[in-house]
Amino acid sequence: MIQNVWLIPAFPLAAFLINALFGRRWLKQWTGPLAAAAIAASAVVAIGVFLEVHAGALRTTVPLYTFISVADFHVDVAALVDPLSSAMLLMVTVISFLIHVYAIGYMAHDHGFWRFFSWFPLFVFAMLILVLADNYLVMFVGWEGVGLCSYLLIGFWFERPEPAGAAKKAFVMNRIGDWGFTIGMITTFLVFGSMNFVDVFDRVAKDPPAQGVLSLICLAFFLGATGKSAQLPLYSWLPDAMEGPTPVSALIHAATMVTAGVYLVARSTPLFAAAGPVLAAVGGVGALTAIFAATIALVQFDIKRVMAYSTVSQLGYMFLALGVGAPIAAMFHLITHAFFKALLFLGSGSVIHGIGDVQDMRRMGGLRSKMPLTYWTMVIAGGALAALPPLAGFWSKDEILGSAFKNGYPILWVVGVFTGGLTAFYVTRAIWLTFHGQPRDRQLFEHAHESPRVMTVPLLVLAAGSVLVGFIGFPPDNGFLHAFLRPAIEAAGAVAETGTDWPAFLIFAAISTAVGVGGILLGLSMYSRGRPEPAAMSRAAGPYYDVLVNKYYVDELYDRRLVDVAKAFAGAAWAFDIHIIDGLVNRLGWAIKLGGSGLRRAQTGIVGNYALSIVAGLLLVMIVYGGYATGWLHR
Amino acid sequence: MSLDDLNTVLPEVVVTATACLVLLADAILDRKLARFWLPLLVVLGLISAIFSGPITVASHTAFGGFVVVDTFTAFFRVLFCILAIFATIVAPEYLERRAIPAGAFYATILFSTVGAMTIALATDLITIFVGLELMTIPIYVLAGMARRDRYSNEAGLKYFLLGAFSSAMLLYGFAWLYGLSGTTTFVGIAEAVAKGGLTDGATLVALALVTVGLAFKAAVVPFHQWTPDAYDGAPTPATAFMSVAPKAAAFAAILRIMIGSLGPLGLDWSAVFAILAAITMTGGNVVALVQGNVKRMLAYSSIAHTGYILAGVAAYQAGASASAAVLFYVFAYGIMNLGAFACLIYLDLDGTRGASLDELNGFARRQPAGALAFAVFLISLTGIPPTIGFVAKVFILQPVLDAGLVWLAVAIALNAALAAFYYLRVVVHMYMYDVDANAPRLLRTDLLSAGLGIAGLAVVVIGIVPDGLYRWALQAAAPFVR
Repeated sequence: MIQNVWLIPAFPLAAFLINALFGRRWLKQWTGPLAAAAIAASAVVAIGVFLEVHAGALRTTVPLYTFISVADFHVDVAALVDPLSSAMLLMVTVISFLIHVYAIGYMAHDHGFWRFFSWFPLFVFAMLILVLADNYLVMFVGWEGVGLCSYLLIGFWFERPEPAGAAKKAFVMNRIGDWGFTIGMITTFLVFGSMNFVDVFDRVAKDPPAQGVLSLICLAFFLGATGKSAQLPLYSWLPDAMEGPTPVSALIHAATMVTAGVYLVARSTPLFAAAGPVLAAVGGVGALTAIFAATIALVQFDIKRVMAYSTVSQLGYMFLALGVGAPIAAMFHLITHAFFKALLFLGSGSVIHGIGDVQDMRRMGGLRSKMPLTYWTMVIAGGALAALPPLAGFWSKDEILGSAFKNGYPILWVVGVFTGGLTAFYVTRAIWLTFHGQPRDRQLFEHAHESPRVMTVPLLVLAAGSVLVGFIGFPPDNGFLHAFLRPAIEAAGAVAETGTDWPAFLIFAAISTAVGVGGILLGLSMYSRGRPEPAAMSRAAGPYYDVLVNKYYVDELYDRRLVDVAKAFAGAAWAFDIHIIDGLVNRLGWAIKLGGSGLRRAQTGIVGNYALSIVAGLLLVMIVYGGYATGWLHR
Repeated sequence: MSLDDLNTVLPEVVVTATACLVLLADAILDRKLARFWLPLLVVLGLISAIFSGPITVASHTAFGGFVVVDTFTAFFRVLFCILAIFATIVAPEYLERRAIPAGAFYATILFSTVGAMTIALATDLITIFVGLELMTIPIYVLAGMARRDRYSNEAGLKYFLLGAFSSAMLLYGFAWLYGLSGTTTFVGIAEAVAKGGLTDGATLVALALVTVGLAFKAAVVPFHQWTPDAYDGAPTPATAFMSVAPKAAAFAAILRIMIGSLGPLGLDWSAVFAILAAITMTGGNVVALVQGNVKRMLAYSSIAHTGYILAGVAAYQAGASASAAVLFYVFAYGIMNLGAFACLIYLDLDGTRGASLDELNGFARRQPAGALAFAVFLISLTGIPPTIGFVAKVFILQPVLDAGLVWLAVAIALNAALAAFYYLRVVVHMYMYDVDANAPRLLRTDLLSAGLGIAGLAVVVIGIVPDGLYRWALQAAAPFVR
């Protein structure tokens, strides 16, 4: 199966080509099932590859072809199949498949159905290339492809101004990150003479370059990761990306795109481990993002925005894990998060779909009776997000926090635990406002209905995953996933094998569960019994509440200040362009025109002048050759 | 002349025979039949020419040493035939619209192709000169083929006068070389100049004359001034062909002569070529920037591309990778530039020549397939991945750096950035501007769209999988490696 690993991206690519070429005229509604079937085929191959890797094929390079080979610059398009990539492949294809199935129902009435199901598999294709790449350059191709597809899909409803603006924002912020990636990639090539993962990591192990150079490379790559994975300071595109159709949000948040940054850092573990201090910075940024985004999520009223900030926050946990030297915990959380976050998004989408495209939770309420399936699956996902045992999120988040403490970062641990409480609170609030209490908009409530089966079945499957996936990491620190991933990451000497430390685990679990339950109880009490009264709380919090509602004014800061600066710079550049460059160019063109018109006056006409210039050129060439011959000019 | 000699040049014989057949068929067939059969005949003839010659061979001489068939020849034969096929496919609808005699047009293209192929065969100054003239004289005719269009007449005449002038210069240079060495074979000349070096005054004159003569054929600044007028005035399908095939042939001649026979003076001419390359790419790009007419802009852009290719020649000391880069770039340039000019045929309605930027407004809505193809060619000409133009630039940059010409590599990079402005401006006009209310209706051009579709696909596919073509180019460059 591993030799056929290229089939995995080939299927979505084929689906894209077929749908894009024949979708509008001929296939129409068949484009959806076709795309889903293609992803299913990829998932089957991915399962095969995964089993084979599990059976002991620890590292296989599957070459596809040589891209460029000139002198000492050599780039192969090849797949690196190891535990890390095979786990990612499996996760990406399975989750994407479920989202594709769901989208068939969700997008059924959209006039751009075929267009949607052209871009959708292309998005998955780009992500799969990113995951499969065995060198930074090919990874960059997938990286850019993911960025492009997210632009197309976030702006899918481009007739409205908000999605178009959100798409542009996502693209620009990602470009900033891509710039970091490019710098990292070029520096890597200059330092190591190769962009191939295996070569680079071998070199780092045997003959590490200067600390400063290594730090530069890692910081650059990390900048790239913050762009794709929506970390501070490049996170603000992700909440805006909610303007896209909900399946797109689910795909971006769970299976593709945002996990790319985490994967990049996890893939580059040997580099980051060798760079030392940069790794700590990764953890710090992660922890800061986690608490920062969680506080914003506390007060949002758009159901999808709550989930969006939650994703930013959870990604912060993953970077925290990477930063404290626990890449396996990061990957673990990436996988569990993919399940429950996909479910939360698809559940939100089901609600939005069921009440006619309303996203404001202030107009919902009491929907539990109308949409029981959506409600129960959302509760499971919410529990997993709040890290209640024994749901999936519990195992992975606890491992991250435990590693933070054990590896000597108690402050990050405190931040993480506290953020866990916030997480539990905002998810309780979101579910309560949506499903419980009295309906706040009667008309919406009357028309509410459960979604069709093509949408609810994926919800059920994801709910099962949200319950069970955590057990791949059981017993803690020493589960199936650990045994599976360890060879990929240990090969670089980054992670040592540890057994389960039960007493420590129980203590950490007890603390974070207590904080989580505290958050849930606070939420329940505030929103079900009105104590403490939410309005009073917000009034008491006063300016702090305003700051949160306004998302720390970051958008304003970026728009007013940074964009102003950028515009001023652009204005200066424009002036430079107009006056200096265009001036020069215009002068030049003017000079040529003048020369032309001057020469035209001569009776001989232009041809003669052309001939004259040839002769003049000949004389110059002769003089130069003569200079070389006599040594008067240097070559 | 033995049968073996003829067999050696079988592809050239096939193309010549096809040209004669086309003229014959044009006289016999009535209008309706001719419209269908003539292009088909040309394409079939060219395809059989491709397959009648070997793709890879060890070097094989014929006609008493006047002609050689090696991997280099094979590469260029295929390239010229592909370009001629492409130029034929895009032309019929235009020729009919403009009432240009189709049979004569196709036959002229074929004769020119034979000339270009002859250049690739040359081992001798005489063969190469015959090839050059056989290639360019039909091109003069092609440029002036729209008899009632005064711009076309002007283009043909100017090109002819200046072409004759530069041919005379080249021939004069050849005469000096013969005087120096007493032979016209490349090998003999190489031996002779290796002894004397550049200090010999006669060698100096010969080298300068040959440099300038060849530079004219390739449209190197400052010997380029015929280019915009000729490209601009000629009927657009003719422009498409003459902007690529003669240039490719000129570089075939440059490699054969400069490396094959004047290689011992490489240190000297490569320094001059490096300077000329920088001047050419910058000059072409700067003037292209201020053009409002896209056809003229593309003419200047083709001068800029000459500069990039010439940089590959100037880096010849880097070895096989330099010549291979030249061959790859010439191939890439051929497809993308022919395609870009051909895209203007859509807009070539009555009374226009080329298209102003405003005429391209909203082109994507009027002709989605054509606009997409045009965008692909322009992106490729800019050098953005994943297109053949991008990899071609990478292949050029590597030997330029290896040869120690860092400043030239920087010049290439800066020029590519400069060029992005005017190429992408066209894309912006096509995709972001609204159609003019009184824009004329476009005619049906299915054959053109099909041809451009295939070429656009090739540009992207080779951009993603370039290694096969590059290996072939490396093989083809092998005769120049010592």
